[in-house]
Amino acid sequence: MPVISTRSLTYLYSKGTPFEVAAIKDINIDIDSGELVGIIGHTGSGKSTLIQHLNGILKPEQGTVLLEGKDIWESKASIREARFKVGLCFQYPEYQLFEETVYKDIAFGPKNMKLDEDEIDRRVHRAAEFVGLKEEHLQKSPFDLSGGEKRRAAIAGVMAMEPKVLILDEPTAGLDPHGRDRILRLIKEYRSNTGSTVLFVSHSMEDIADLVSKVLVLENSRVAMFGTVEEVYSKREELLKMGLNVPQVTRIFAGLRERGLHINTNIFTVEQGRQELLRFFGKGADL
Amino acid sequence: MIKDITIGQFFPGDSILHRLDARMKLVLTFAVIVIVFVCKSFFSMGLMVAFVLFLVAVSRVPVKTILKSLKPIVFIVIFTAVLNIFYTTGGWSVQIWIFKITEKGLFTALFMAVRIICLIIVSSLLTYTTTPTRLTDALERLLSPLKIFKIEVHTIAMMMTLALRFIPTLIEEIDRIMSAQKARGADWESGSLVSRSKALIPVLIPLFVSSFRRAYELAFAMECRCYRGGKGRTRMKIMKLELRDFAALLAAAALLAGIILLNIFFKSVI
Repeated sequence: MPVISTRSLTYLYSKGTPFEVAAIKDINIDIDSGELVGIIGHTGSGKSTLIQHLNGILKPEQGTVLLEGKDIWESKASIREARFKVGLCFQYPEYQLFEETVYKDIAFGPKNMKLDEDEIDRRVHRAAEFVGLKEEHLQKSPFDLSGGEKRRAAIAGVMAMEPKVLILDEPTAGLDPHGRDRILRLIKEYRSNTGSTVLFVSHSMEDIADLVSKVLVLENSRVAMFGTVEEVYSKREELLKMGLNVPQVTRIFAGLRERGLHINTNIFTVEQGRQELLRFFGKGADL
Repeated sequence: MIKDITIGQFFPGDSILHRLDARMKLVLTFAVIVIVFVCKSFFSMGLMVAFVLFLVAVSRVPVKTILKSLKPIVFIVIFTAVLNIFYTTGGWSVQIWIFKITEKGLFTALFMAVRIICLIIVSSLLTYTTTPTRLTDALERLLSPLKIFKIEVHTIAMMMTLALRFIPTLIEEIDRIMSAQKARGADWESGSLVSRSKALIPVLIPLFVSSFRRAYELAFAMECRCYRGGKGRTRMKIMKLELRDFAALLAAAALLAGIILLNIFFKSVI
């Protein structure tokens, strides 16, 4: 059974004014438990609106969101349950830090879940360790951390709720390459350690190819494609038409093919590219 | 909930009210607000209400939008009305339990309520039909005689422009922060008043922090573009009074005359 599904989900912004626009239209997706889904699309394609529906921050105009088969808007209790079961980490989450110490900030979510002190303490330490924040960081003011540390502290705040589904909206935006790699590695580890479902929004085709099991492409408020990396990235022409691209390494292999090399073009990560080149040039090649 | 705030909200359109010179609109809005308090009889108040309705129709701003701007003041209107019912006496009276309602009290309350509503509608029409930039531009021009007293009119106007400009941004920001904290289980809808106000801290602190950050960034950006106050600045849009502006002035004058005449010729109630 899918852990999260949406049925003909539609949402309008600024309803009843001249600014009215549909942010998402008729979205039907099923996300299976344990999957790592990458969401891509242009700015304004409805990515952020969609993920805010999955934990009930936004109430759909039409359609339903099903969490483990149950409508999350069924009752007040079910919506609260959805908030904790589906952890949503917004874009630039460091702007939501507010407590005196990093420890207290990470504990904010678990505290709202009404857990006991020992459990909160365990979760805070676990989440902090996970994102690589040391004990000494926990007693600092969150405003004294560096940019990357702040981001990781904020992500830890969501992880500490130990949600079944973790959703991250562009978790790497505005970070340097080092910070970016660190966050991506963290997402991967989090999923393999906890077995939770993870959704993350990204603009980088490379990051997505490296990480995910499935890709969801949004275009003009609708689902344009939803499938495995291979299924989606092999439709290069369609992606280009949407103004999206495929990873650089895929473009290189497509270019080699056009120049007459009999080479596999379904290459989406650098590692796959290396393997393919090794195969192509024979085992003796030194790459 | 937070999105219901409509201060400084512009409603795009191309009606005659939208096209009027902002200075004239500002002056006339003040004039009409004063005139509202001149109305002293049913007939003059009726004329006033008709005029306000006429303005709403001409502005082509949907009635629903106008009503939305009235929502936050419903409590004030009721409060003032109730207060007036009991604190004014005169004329016939009805005794209900320990309350004594008099003719004069009832009418004063009614007039007060209608006055406040007219006031809010007229002033929200001003902001609905004028962009904040034009409004502060107009204000700067109207206040420019104060320069004689060494008052930095330009700086004040710039501050107002920036403040107005940041209202929607901050509302959006509040919305975002609230959503983010909601995602971590923050709850504003239940609990006692104390716990509810405490629950606002996770919103207010990030908001302050980001407001200061924005202010610094903006100041840098302005300095980078060589902003150094009003001296020697020229304008892209030069304001010019046109025929329709004088027509609007005439209409307001006619309204005032009509209301004074109605006040005189029909016996006033209060």
